[in-house]
Amino acid sequence: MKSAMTKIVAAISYIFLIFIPSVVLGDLRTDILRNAAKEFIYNTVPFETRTDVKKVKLGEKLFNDKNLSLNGDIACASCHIDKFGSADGLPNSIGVGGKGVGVERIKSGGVIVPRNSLPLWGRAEEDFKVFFWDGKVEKREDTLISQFGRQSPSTNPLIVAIHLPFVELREMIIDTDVVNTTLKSETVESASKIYYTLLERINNNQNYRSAFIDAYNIKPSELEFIHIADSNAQFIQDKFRIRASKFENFVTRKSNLSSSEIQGGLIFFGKGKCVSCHNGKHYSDFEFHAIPFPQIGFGKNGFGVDYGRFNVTHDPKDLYKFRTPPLTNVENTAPYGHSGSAQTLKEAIIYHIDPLRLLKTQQMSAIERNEYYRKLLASNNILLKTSFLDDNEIHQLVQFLKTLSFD
Amino acid sequence: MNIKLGSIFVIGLSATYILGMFSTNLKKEIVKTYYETEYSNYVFKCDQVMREHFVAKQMVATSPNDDNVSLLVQAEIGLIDCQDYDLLRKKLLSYGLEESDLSEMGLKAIELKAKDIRKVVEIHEIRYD
Ligand code: HEC
Ligand code: HEC
Repeated sequence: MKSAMTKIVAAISYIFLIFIPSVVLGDLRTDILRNAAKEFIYNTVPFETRTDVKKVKLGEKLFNDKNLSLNGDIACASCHIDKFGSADGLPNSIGVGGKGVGVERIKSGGVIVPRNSLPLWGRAEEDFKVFFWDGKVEKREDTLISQFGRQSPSTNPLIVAIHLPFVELREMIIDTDVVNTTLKSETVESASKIYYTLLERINNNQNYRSAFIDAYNIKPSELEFIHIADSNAQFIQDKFRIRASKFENFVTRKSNLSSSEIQGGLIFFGKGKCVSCHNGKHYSDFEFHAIPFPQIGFGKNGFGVDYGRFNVTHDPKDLYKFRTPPLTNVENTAPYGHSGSAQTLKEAIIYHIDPLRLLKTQQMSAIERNEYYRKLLASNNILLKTSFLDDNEIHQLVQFLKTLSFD
Repeated sequence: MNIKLGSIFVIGLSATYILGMFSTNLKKEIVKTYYETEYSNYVFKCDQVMREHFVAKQMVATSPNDDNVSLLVQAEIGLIDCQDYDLLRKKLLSYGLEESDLSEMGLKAIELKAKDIRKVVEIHEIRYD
């Protein structure tokens, strides 16, 4: 009898042995993840957003207004669309001449902008200092660096960045003969001609004109292009401000994560080494790295080549490097990479750690492969840094990335 | 581990206990077979993160800079995989396996990799005599 009792007790303790460690371990993991988040992500003082309702309203109107493209039929909102997390859901953007969204837009025959559209979350925050895939607008130690040089229209990098789409050929301007001869140089002078023309359009529109004068409290003669850009920035600041993500709510103990999300988080901060580049509140170090994403489309340098940061610095060390993209709301901004060559988050991760797995090398031309070897060699940093991850771990990482969203 | 399978396993295990008709050896074999894949997976993962942790430590020792220190912190977080391995070891010991059984399972895990070599030798009919 006594021995039967001991056996029952033993049986019960087996059951506990299976469950108790997972509870204890669960706590340990949660704590490690919360501490890592505080060390690598939420390590700055929160930034206070202040916007002016009137300016925001004006900016919103302009963001959607096709009249603000010189000779095209396109607005900011054509490529920065809510449904796609403020990107456009396409691998390469379709600029002037494009109609509709998604596949429809590809078929409409507009000109192709050889980069993947970027979302606008958090772009107005003080600590967001490097803009575009190649960082062609950036603020380093209070100096603003851009193609405007010393004639920079502003010291706020977002406001400078907003100046560019208006004057970028293909993006918001068709290169007709007239544009070719007078404006194509993409110089500061040709840009100011375009700004002047657009400003005239605002001036000739009584509604806009009085709204600007009222919102900025200026005399009619004082209205400048910078006011247009500023209202756009105010709108971006208001609409695309960063709110608490599921992950942030977990860190501040307002909610929990599933065990596979936690597991994915531990890989992100741990052996995946993701946080060595995707760090800070925006999940970007605002530095430039080469990652072996394949190139699709024509490429900024043509014939399927995009040299990335090199185009800005002309330093051979910068070949194939791109700004680490922020990951806020990343689940909604597919496709991924500077040319949109990764369809899903899973593919985007695999291109970091095991690119040959997805690459159909037999179907590539010899030139494409040759180009890819260069990129692969330039990517030694990422390939040496991250661990092997199995498919289950990649899945957990994807689950974690989805917690960086907010509604 | 699949929860449903897990509970069937636990209930089965306890039931056999209560009935008192369980030979220690048979039980051991069942436990070993059931956990073989999971165990060898943990052996591999823990080994991997320990190697990487060692390299990360050496990186800090040879070129101490902020980036390398940060990578070492990440490698330390990566060591959590060894915690899984450790807990599974403890669980298996409590099921009646002995250290020698665990060593055997570990060796088997390493063998999995060694088998690759045998396959290559077989496929290419490499002969050494
Ligand atoms: C033809 C599609 C298109 C239109 C129209 C467009 N954009 Fe973009 N936008 C893009 C693409 C593509 C990029 C990335 C370009 C690059 O980095 O080379 C981008 C990048 C940006 C960025 C930089 C974001 C970052 O993370 O650095 C900002 C800001 C921006 N756009 C604002 C605007 C505003 C404001 C307008 C309207 C004045 C506008 N865009 C019009 C496609 C477009
Ligand atoms: C060495 C720095 C570095 C590391 C480490 C790194 N990334 Fe990246 N990541 C980048 C850069 C740079 C890009 C853009 C590359 C390009 O477009 O050519 C990128 C792109 C991405 C994208 C696509 C984002 C978009 O909007 O297009 C995702 C998702 C991503 N990384 C997740 C991860 C995850 C998960 C890890 C860890 C396994 C990781 N990254 C590790 C630098 C890094």
